[in-house]
Amino acid sequence: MQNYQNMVFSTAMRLLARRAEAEDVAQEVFLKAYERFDQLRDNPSAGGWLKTVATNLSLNHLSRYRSRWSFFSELLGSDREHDEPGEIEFPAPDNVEENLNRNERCAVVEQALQKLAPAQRVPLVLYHLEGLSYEEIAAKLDVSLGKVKTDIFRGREVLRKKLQLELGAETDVA
Amino acid sequence: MNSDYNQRLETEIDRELKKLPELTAPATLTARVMAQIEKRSVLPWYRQAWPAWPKPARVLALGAMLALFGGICFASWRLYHGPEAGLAVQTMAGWFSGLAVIWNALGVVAGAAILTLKKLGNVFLIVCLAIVAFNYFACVGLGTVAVRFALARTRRNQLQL
Repeated sequence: MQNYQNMVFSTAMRLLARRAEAEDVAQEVFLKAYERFDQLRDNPSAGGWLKTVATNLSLNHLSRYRSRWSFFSELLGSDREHDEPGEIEFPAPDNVEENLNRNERCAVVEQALQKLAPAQRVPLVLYHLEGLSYEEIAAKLDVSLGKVKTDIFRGREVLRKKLQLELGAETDVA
Repeated sequence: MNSDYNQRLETEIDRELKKLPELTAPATLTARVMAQIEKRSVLPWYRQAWPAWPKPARVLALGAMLALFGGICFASWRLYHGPEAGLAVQTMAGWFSGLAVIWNALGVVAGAAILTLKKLGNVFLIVCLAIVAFNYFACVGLGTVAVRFALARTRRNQLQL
Protein backbone atom coordinates (compact mmCIF):
# COMPACT_ATOMS: atom_id res chain seq x y z
CA MET A 1 0.00 0.00 0.00
CA GLN A 2 2.86 2.38 0.85
CA ASN A 3 4.23 1.92 -2.69
CA TYR A 4 1.01 2.85 -4.42
CA GLN A 5 -0.79 5.25 -2.10
CA ASN A 6 0.64 8.41 -3.69
CA MET A 7 -0.21 7.17 -7.17
CA VAL A 8 -3.78 6.25 -6.20
CA PHE A 9 -4.33 9.48 -4.29
CA SER A 10 -2.89 11.58 -7.15
CA THR A 11 -5.17 9.90 -9.68
CA ALA A 12 -8.26 10.55 -7.55
CA MET A 13 -7.19 14.06 -6.57
CA ARG A 14 -6.58 15.17 -10.15
CA LEU A 15 -9.96 13.88 -11.29
CA LEU A 16 -11.99 15.05 -8.30
CA ALA A 17 -9.98 18.13 -7.28
CA ARG A 18 -11.21 17.79 -3.71
CA ARG A 19 -8.96 16.40 -1.04
CA ALA A 20 -11.61 14.81 1.18
CA GLU A 21 -13.33 13.09 -1.74
CA ALA A 22 -10.01 11.91 -3.18
CA GLU A 23 -9.11 10.43 0.20
CA ASP A 24 -12.46 8.59 0.34
CA VAL A 25 -11.91 7.19 -3.15
CA ALA A 26 -8.32 6.16 -2.34
CA GLN A 27 -9.60 4.36 0.74
CA GLU A 28 -12.21 2.54 -1.34
CA VAL A 29 -9.55 1.53 -3.90
CA PHE A 30 -7.36 -0.05 -1.22
CA LEU A 31 -10.35 -1.84 0.34
CA LYS A 32 -11.12 -3.34 -3.07
CA ALA A 33 -7.47 -4.30 -3.42
CA TYR A 34 -7.60 -5.95 -0.01
CA GLU A 35 -10.55 -8.08 -1.15
CA ARG A 36 -8.39 -9.29 -4.07
CA PHE A 37 -5.15 -9.40 -2.16
CA ASP A 38 -4.39 -13.00 -3.17
CA GLN A 39 -4.57 -12.13 -6.87
CA LEU A 40 -2.70 -8.84 -6.58
CA ARG A 41 0.07 -9.76 -4.13
CA ASP A 42 2.59 -11.05 -6.68
CA ASN A 43 1.00 -9.52 -9.73
CA PRO A 44 3.32 -7.14 -11.63
CA SER A 45 0.29 -5.29 -13.06
CA ALA A 46 -1.10 -4.45 -9.60
CA GLY A 47 -0.17 -0.78 -10.10
CA GLY A 48 -2.13 -0.63 -13.36
CA TRP A 49 -5.10 -2.33 -11.71
CA LEU A 50 -5.06 0.16 -8.84
CA LYS A 51 -4.82 3.11 -11.24
CA THR A 52 -7.73 1.81 -13.32
CA VAL A 53 -9.88 1.21 -10.24
CA ALA A 54 -8.99 4.67 -8.87
CA THR A 55 -9.98 6.25 -12.19
CA ASN A 56 -13.26 4.36 -12.44
CA LEU A 57 -14.24 5.00 -8.82
CA SER A 58 -13.44 8.71 -9.22
CA LEU A 59 -15.60 8.93 -12.33
CA ASN A 60 -18.40 7.04 -10.58
CA HIS A 61 -18.11 9.40 -7.65
CA LEU A 62 -18.30 12.42 -9.94
CA SER A 63 -21.39 11.19 -11.75
CA ARG A 64 -23.12 9.97 -8.59
CA TYR A 65 -22.58 12.79 -6.13
CA ARG A 66 -21.67 15.88 -8.07
CA SER A 67 -24.82 16.11 -10.16
CA ARG A 68 -26.88 16.60 -7.00
CA TRP A 69 -24.86 19.64 -6.08
CA SER A 70 -24.07 21.02 -9.50
CA PHE A 71 -26.88 23.56 -9.28
CA PHE A 72 -25.64 24.97 -6.00
CA SER A 73 -21.98 24.73 -6.98
CA GLU A 74 -22.72 26.78 -10.08
CA LEU A 75 -24.40 29.41 -7.92
CA LEU A 76 -21.45 29.25 -5.54
CA GLY A 77 -18.84 29.38 -8.27
CA SER A 78 -16.57 31.65 -6.29
CA ASP A 79 -16.39 29.19 -3.38
CA ARG A 80 -14.96 26.52 -5.62
CA GLU A 81 -11.62 28.27 -5.77
CA HIS A 82 -11.34 28.34 -2.00
CA ASP A 83 -12.16 24.69 -1.37
CA GLU A 84 -8.60 23.47 -1.38
CA PRO A 85 -6.48 26.44 -0.44
CA GLY A 86 -2.81 25.61 -0.80
CA GLU A 87 -3.19 22.03 0.30
CA ILE A 88 -1.17 20.48 -2.50
CA GLU A 89 1.81 18.63 -1.16
CA PHE A 90 4.65 17.25 -3.20
CA PRO A 91 7.24 14.77 -1.98
CA ALA A 92 10.20 16.56 -0.45
CA PRO A 93 12.98 16.99 -3.01
CA ASP A 94 16.48 15.66 -2.34
CA ASN A 95 18.05 19.03 -3.01
CA VAL A 96 15.73 21.76 -1.91
CA GLU A 97 17.50 24.68 -3.57
CA GLU A 98 17.89 23.07 -6.97
CA ASN A 99 14.32 21.88 -7.04
CA LEU A 100 12.67 24.97 -5.65
CA ASN A 101 11.75 26.50 -9.01
CA ARG A 102 10.63 23.18 -10.39
CA ASN A 103 8.42 22.52 -7.37
CA GLU A 104 6.96 26.00 -7.52
CA ARG A 105 6.17 25.51 -11.18
CA CYS A 106 4.57 22.12 -10.45
CA ALA A 107 2.45 23.67 -7.70
CA VAL A 108 1.27 26.35 -10.11
CA VAL A 109 0.39 23.75 -12.77
CA GLU A 110 -1.37 21.60 -10.18
CA GLN A 111 -3.40 24.54 -8.88
CA ALA A 112 -4.32 25.60 -12.40
CA LEU A 113 -5.40 22.06 -13.23
CA GLN A 114 -7.53 21.75 -10.13
CA LYS A 115 -9.23 25.06 -10.73
CA LEU A 116 -10.41 24.00 -14.17
CA ALA A 117 -14.11 23.28 -14.56
CA PRO A 118 -14.79 19.53 -14.09
CA ALA A 119 -16.07 19.27 -17.67
CA GLN A 120 -12.63 20.36 -18.90
CA ARG A 121 -10.40 18.91 -16.18
CA VAL A 122 -11.68 15.34 -16.27
CA PRO A 123 -11.17 14.68 -20.02
CA LEU A 124 -7.87 16.58 -19.92
CA VAL A 125 -6.56 14.40 -17.08
CA LEU A 126 -7.81 11.24 -18.75
CA TYR A 127 -6.08 12.20 -22.00
CA HIS A 128 -2.74 13.52 -20.77
CA LEU A 129 -2.21 11.67 -17.50
CA GLU A 130 -4.16 8.45 -17.93
CA GLY A 131 -3.25 8.02 -21.59
CA LEU A 132 -6.78 7.42 -22.86
CA SER A 133 -7.71 8.23 -26.45
CA TYR A 134 -10.48 10.69 -27.35
CA GLU A 135 -12.76 7.78 -28.25
CA GLU A 136 -12.12 5.99 -24.96
CA ILE A 137 -12.81 9.19 -23.01
CA ALA A 138 -16.06 9.75 -24.91
CA ALA A 139 -17.15 6.20 -24.12
CA LYS A 140 -16.14 6.46 -20.45
CA LEU A 141 -17.88 9.80 -19.90
CA ASP A 142 -20.82 8.93 -22.12
CA VAL A 143 -20.50 12.11 -24.17
CA SER A 144 -19.92 12.77 -27.85
CA LEU A 145 -16.47 12.71 -29.39
CA GLY A 146 -16.89 16.34 -30.46
CA LYS A 147 -17.62 17.44 -26.90
CA VAL A 148 -14.54 15.64 -25.59
CA LYS A 149 -12.32 17.35 -28.17
CA THR A 150 -13.85 20.76 -27.50
CA ASP A 151 -13.61 20.42 -23.72
CA ILE A 152 -10.00 19.26 -23.91
CA PHE A 153 -9.11 22.13 -26.24
CA ARG A 154 -10.79 24.66 -23.94
CA GLY A 155 -9.08 23.15 -20.91
CA ARG A 156 -5.70 23.41 -22.62
CA GLU A 157 -6.41 27.01 -23.57
CA VAL A 158 -7.29 27.90 -19.98
CA LEU A 159 -4.11 26.19 -18.76
CA ARG A 160 -2.03 27.92 -21.42
CA LYS A 161 -3.31 31.30 -20.31
CA LYS A 162 -2.85 30.56 -16.62
CA LEU A 163 0.64 29.17 -17.15
CA GLN A 164 1.49 31.94 -19.62
CA LEU A 165 2.82 29.49 -22.18
CA GLU A 166 4.14 31.09 -25.35
CA LEU A 167 3.01 29.26 -28.47
CA GLY A 168 3.44 31.92 -31.07
CA ALA A 169 0.74 34.13 -32.48
CA GLU A 170 -2.73 33.17 -31.35
CA THR A 171 -4.05 34.66 -34.55
CA ASP A 172 -3.10 31.33 -36.14
CA VAL A 173 -6.33 30.05 -34.70
CA ALA A 174 -9.07 30.46 -37.26
CA MET B 1 -8.95 25.71 -35.53
CA ASN B 2 -5.38 25.70 -36.81
CA SER B 3 -4.00 22.19 -36.54
CA ASP B 4 -0.41 23.36 -36.11
CA TYR B 5 -1.40 25.56 -33.18
CA ASN B 6 -3.44 22.70 -31.72
CA GLN B 7 -0.50 20.36 -32.03
CA ARG B 8 1.87 22.79 -30.30
CA LEU B 9 -0.70 23.44 -27.58
CA GLU B 10 -1.18 19.72 -26.99
CA THR B 11 2.57 19.12 -26.85
CA GLU B 12 3.18 21.97 -24.42
CA ILE B 13 0.33 21.05 -22.08
CA ASP B 14 1.33 17.39 -22.26
CA ARG B 15 4.89 18.31 -21.29
CA GLU B 16 3.69 20.45 -18.36
CA LEU B 17 1.31 17.80 -17.06
CA LYS B 18 3.72 14.90 -17.48
CA LYS B 19 6.26 16.78 -15.37
CA LEU B 20 3.90 16.79 -12.39
CA PRO B 21 5.11 14.55 -9.58
CA GLU B 22 2.75 12.36 -7.64
CA LEU B 23 0.93 14.10 -4.83
CA THR B 24 1.62 12.94 -1.32
CA ALA B 25 -1.22 10.91 0.09
CA PRO B 26 -2.45 12.05 3.50
CA ALA B 27 -0.68 10.39 6.38
CA THR B 28 -4.06 9.27 7.72
CA LEU B 29 -4.90 7.18 4.64
CA THR B 30 -3.19 3.98 5.78
CA ALA B 31 -4.75 4.26 9.24
CA ARG B 32 -8.20 4.82 7.71
CA VAL B 33 -7.89 1.80 5.43
CA MET B 34 -6.63 -0.43 8.24
CA ALA B 35 -9.46 0.74 10.53
CA GLN B 36 -12.02 -0.02 7.83
CA ILE B 37 -10.53 -3.50 7.24
CA GLU B 38 -10.63 -4.13 10.98
CA LYS B 39 -14.25 -2.97 11.12
CA ARG B 40 -15.26 -5.20 8.23
CA SER B 41 -13.44 -8.24 9.52
CA VAL B 42 -15.54 -8.37 12.70
CA LEU B 43 -18.78 -8.41 10.70
CA PRO B 44 -20.47 -11.81 10.25
CA TRP B 45 -19.84 -13.35 6.82
CA TYR B 46 -23.37 -12.68 5.55
CA ARG B 47 -22.97 -8.94 6.15
CA GLN B 48 -19.70 -8.78 4.24
CA ALA B 49 -19.27 -8.23 0.50
CA TRP B 50 -20.20 -11.16 -1.78
CA PRO B 51 -16.58 -12.09 -2.67
CA ALA B 52 -15.77 -12.40 1.04
CA TRP B 53 -18.49 -15.04 1.65
CA PRO B 54 -17.36 -18.66 2.22
CA LYS B 55 -17.40 -20.67 -1.02
CA PRO B 56 -20.25 -23.07 -0.03
CA ALA B 57 -22.40 -20.08 0.96
CA ARG B 58 -21.72 -18.39 -2.37
CA VAL B 59 -22.63 -21.55 -4.31
CA LEU B 60 -25.77 -22.03 -2.23
CA ALA B 61 -26.86 -18.40 -2.62
CA LEU B 62 -26.22 -18.52 -6.36
CA GLY B 63 -28.27 -21.74 -6.65
CA ALA B 64 -31.10 -20.19 -4.62
CA MET B 65 -31.12 -17.05 -6.78
CA LEU B 66 -31.17 -19.09 -9.98
CA ALA B 67 -33.99 -21.30 -8.63
CA LEU B 68 -35.98 -18.21 -7.64
CA PHE B 69 -35.48 -16.61 -11.03
CA GLY B 70 -36.44 -19.84 -12.83
CA GLY B 71 -39.48 -20.23 -10.58
CA ILE B 72 -40.69 -16.70 -11.31
CA CYS B 73 -40.20 -17.23 -15.06
CA PHE B 74 -42.05 -20.57 -14.98
CA ALA B 75 -44.91 -19.24 -12.84
CA SER B 76 -45.32 -16.22 -15.14
CA TRP B 77 -45.41 -18.47 -18.20
CA ARG B 78 -47.99 -20.80 -16.61
CA LEU B 79 -50.15 -17.90 -15.48
CA TYR B 80 -50.10 -16.30 -18.92
CA HIS B 81 -50.87 -19.47 -20.90
CA GLY B 82 -53.07 -21.31 -18.42
CA PRO B 83 -56.89 -21.15 -18.20
CA GLU B 84 -56.55 -19.16 -14.98
CA ALA B 85 -55.18 -16.17 -16.93
CA GLY B 86 -58.61 -14.77 -17.93
CA LEU B 87 -59.93 -15.16 -14.41
CA ALA B 88 -56.86 -13.42 -13.00
CA VAL B 89 -57.27 -10.50 -15.41
CA GLN B 90 -60.95 -10.14 -14.40
CA THR B 91 -60.04 -10.24 -10.72
CA MET B 92 -57.39 -7.56 -11.19
CA ALA B 93 -59.77 -5.38 -13.20
CA GLY B 94 -62.17 -5.62 -10.23
CA TRP B 95 -59.41 -4.39 -7.88
CA PHE B 96 -58.87 -1.27 -10.00
CA SER B 97 -62.52 -0.50 -10.77
CA GLY B 98 -62.56 1.96 -7.87
CA LEU B 99 -59.97 4.05 -9.71
CA ALA B 100 -62.43 4.83 -12.52
CA VAL B 101 -64.71 6.58 -10.00
CA ILE B 102 -61.77 8.60 -8.68
CA TRP B 103 -60.74 9.50 -12.25
CA ASN B 104 -64.24 10.76 -13.04
CA ALA B 105 -64.35 12.81 -9.86
CA LEU B 106 -60.96 14.34 -10.68
CA GLY B 107 -62.25 15.25 -14.16
CA VAL B 108 -65.25 17.07 -12.66
CA VAL B 109 -63.03 18.97 -10.19
CA ALA B 110 -60.59 19.94 -12.97
CA GLY B 111 -63.49 21.16 -15.17
CA ALA B 112 -64.86 23.27 -12.33
CA ALA B 113 -61.39 24.71 -11.64
CA ILE B 114 -60.90 25.69 -15.30
CA LEU B 115 -64.33 27.34 -15.38
CA THR B 116 -63.53 29.28 -12.18
CA LEU B 117 -60.18 30.45 -13.57
CA LYS B 118 -61.85 31.66 -16.75
CA LYS B 119 -64.29 33.70 -14.67
CA LEU B 120 -61.47 35.21 -12.57
CA GLY B 121 -59.55 36.44 -15.61
CA ASN B 122 -55.94 36.69 -16.73
CA VAL B 123 -54.84 39.23 -14.14
CA PHE B 124 -55.57 36.81 -11.32
CA LEU B 125 -53.60 34.09 -13.08
CA ILE B 126 -50.61 36.38 -13.63
CA VAL B 127 -50.63 37.43 -9.96
CA CYS B 128 -50.74 33.76 -8.89
CA LEU B 129 -47.86 32.89 -11.20
CA ALA B 130 -45.85 35.83 -9.89
CA ILE B 131 -46.41 34.67 -6.30
CA VAL B 132 -45.32 31.14 -7.19
CA ALA B 133 -42.21 32.44 -9.01
CA PHE B 134 -41.35 34.73 -6.08
CA ASN B 135 -41.65 31.83 -3.63
CA TYR B 136 -39.55 29.61 -5.87
CA PHE B 137 -36.71 32.12 -6.14
CA ALA B 138 -36.95 32.91 -2.42
CA CYS B 139 -36.48 29.19 -1.67
CA VAL B 140 -33.51 28.96 -4.04
CA GLY B 141 -31.97 32.09 -2.53
CA LEU B 142 -32.42 30.88 1.03
CA GLY B 143 -31.04 27.47 0.06
CA THR B 144 -27.99 29.09 -1.48
CA VAL B 145 -27.38 31.21 1.58
CA ALA B 146 -27.77 28.13 3.80
CA VAL B 147 -25.28 26.12 1.70
CA ARG B 148 -22.82 29.03 1.62
CA PHE B 149 -23.11 29.38 5.38
CA ALA B 150 -22.67 25.63 5.93
CA LEU B 151 -19.62 25.48 3.61
CA ALA B 152 -18.06 28.49 5.30
CA ARG B 153 -18.52 26.90 8.70
CA THR B 154 -17.08 23.58 7.53
CA ARG B 155 -14.08 25.36 6.07
CA ARG B 156 -13.59 27.37 9.26
CA ASN B 157 -13.73 24.16 11.30
CA GLN B 158 -11.19 22.47 8.99
CA LEU B 159 -8.83 25.43 9.30
CA GLN B 160 -9.17 25.38 13.07
CA LEU B 161 -8.31 21.65 13.10
